[in-house]
Amino acid sequence: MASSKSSLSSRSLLSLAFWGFWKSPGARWLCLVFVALLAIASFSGYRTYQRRLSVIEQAATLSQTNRTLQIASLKGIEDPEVALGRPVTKQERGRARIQRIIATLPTSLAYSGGNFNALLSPSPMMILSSGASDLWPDRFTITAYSQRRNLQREDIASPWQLEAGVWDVTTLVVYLLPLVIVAFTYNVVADDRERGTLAIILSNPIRLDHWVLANLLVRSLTAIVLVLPFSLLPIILAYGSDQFQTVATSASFWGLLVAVYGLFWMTVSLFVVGLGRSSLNNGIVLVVFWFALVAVVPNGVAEFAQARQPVLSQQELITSERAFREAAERDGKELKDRYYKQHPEVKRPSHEQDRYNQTHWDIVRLETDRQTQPLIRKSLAQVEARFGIHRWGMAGSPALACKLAFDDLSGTSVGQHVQFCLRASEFDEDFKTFFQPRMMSREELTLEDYDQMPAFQHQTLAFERDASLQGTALLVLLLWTLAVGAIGYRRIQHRSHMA
Amino acid sequence: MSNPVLQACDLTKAYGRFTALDKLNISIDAGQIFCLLGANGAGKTTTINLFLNFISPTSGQALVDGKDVKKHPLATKTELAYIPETVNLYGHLTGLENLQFFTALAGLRELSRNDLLELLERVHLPHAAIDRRMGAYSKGMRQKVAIAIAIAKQPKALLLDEPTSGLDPSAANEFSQLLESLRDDGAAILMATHDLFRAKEVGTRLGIMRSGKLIDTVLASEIDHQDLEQLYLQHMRS
Repeated sequence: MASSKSSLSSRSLLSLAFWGFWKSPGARWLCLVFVALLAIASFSGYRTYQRRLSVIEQAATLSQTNRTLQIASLKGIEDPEVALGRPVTKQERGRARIQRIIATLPTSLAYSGGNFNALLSPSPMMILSSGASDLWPDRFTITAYSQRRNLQREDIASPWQLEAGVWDVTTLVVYLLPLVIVAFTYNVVADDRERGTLAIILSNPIRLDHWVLANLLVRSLTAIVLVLPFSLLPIILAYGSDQFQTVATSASFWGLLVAVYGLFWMTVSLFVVGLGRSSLNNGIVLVVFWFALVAVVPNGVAEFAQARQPVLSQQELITSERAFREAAERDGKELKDRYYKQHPEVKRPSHEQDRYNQTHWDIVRLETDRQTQPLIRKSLAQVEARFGIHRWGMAGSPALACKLAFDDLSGTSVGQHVQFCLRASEFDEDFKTFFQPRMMSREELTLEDYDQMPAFQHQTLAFERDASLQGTALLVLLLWTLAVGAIGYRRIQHRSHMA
Repeated sequence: MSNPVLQACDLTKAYGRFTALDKLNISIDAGQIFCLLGANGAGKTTTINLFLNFISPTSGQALVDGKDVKKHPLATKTELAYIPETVNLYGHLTGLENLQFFTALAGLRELSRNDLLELLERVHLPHAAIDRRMGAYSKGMRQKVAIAIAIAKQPKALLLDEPTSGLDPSAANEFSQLLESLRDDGAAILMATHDLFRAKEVGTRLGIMRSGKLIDTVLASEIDHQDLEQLYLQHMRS
């Protein structure tokens, strides 16, 4: 037997620590369960993404088809197959007839759904984080009566949308990754001390702090490495698309945040291991840390934000809208007269042109929408202010920092949804600015009008990232990691005689 | 004059007003077994812990191969092997895996499976037990694996803390033989024990400790079992 004695290199120490960990009972099972949960969450995220994408694409296609049929009608093309350049079904033929009829009628077109939409196309990153997408709309149907219509949307609270938010990869990373790291690391050194093997280990040329760090590092990295492959899923889905670069950057940053978040929890373990208590004691202290940083602080921030920025409820908005409508119906005649007086360029239709007094109902609905709009904007501003408080709250909890950053990267954050609502609202205003004079004059629409019709321009909002939020989240994570790590490492160095 | 491998120079350890070890002076040459005898709390384990640098001396020095363990903790540990009273290696690993793990920790990563099997054969671990989980091993078998780890390190010095405590006579006898073979290989051995018989059997010199002090030292070859027992009891009573 030929052998030579030498101190272990860092690489050898790490590989030995990994070998010891991998052979320990339960480690592989826990890894397997964690990966299975991540796989289920990814699959769930993928299904949610596909359903959302399908709904958005259907809405966009319908809108485009309707517009093509309307323009074709104005050009005198009656056959929908010629207009669309493809065979059409019986159902489509029926719909084409309606589009031909309403093509020149501004009021009919303005009230008809399926022509004008504000659509938020989901990013493939949504697979990782469904965020606030189960609570906020990703599409608005813009009509002359949009606010009413959008306030009463049932699908925002539909069961399939609600199922998306809870079980996603981000939730598992924010809540479960720390627990997996705790489960892997709570007994580092303590278990060896209780078993009596620590004395034998430290009778070798190994420093206690190096042994502790090697064990914590390989165990935490194992948990982190289990998560990282899942960040490839959005990249694979986006491959070949225009947004590939954006998605790849977002997914890479997502992976970086996961790694730093995991290392933060490693430093928490380092701090607790440095206390030199039993495995049981370490486990309890670590779970207390987990509960405080993952549950208590984020919920405290949410409660504070809610108290500081109370947002109008849907019920309050609908009640206000009803009051505005009743007032507008009561004052309809006066409103109509005032409109024509204030807009001399709009020709008042003759009784013959407006025999059902449609302009009365138009002015009532437009006025109701006009008055509801500021309330909705105020409500959105309050949500935005509340989100601002959450951003400050990131400093108090790495878990909250991660959650906000992950949602933002996935295009499903509250901030992005509020931005979408605000831009949809701007589109709604542009829409009414275009249609109201044409509705009130009841003049027929021309091809030139179709060229001037407003269109929603912000479909790729979900792919945009908030650089300041991402930067702050990374900074918060790094500062927490460095601070806790430094304290933990000093404690371990002071406990060089733990055997 | 040969250089002592293990040497304590006025080695003292105090915890506040309590002195666990008081100015211990011993030196152990290569190929010698020094047995520290004494009641619980006499300072035997403190001495071993000081040589291992698990605790720092209040004053004095513990030297391994001429190097102060406080100043050169890692260098001195490359020359040391240690077997505690209760050897609880990893119960979920086999004897062979434990040996592989702990020899690798000692920096002996190049040992082949055959080398490791040879080591386990040398300590007479039953062949059937080699690939069995260590949780099912008897204390004697665990002790053998610990000795195999120590042998693999080819240490200049071996520290043993109550190694035969709880072993049956046959296992204790086998252990003594292994110890003698290590001594014959040239290791300097410091063994803390209550077992006067075993100490007399394997020891070169015997030191009797009480209340942190080494109060007597005798050559094992110059005293028989009965006289050793008398001497020990006499020191314990006085």
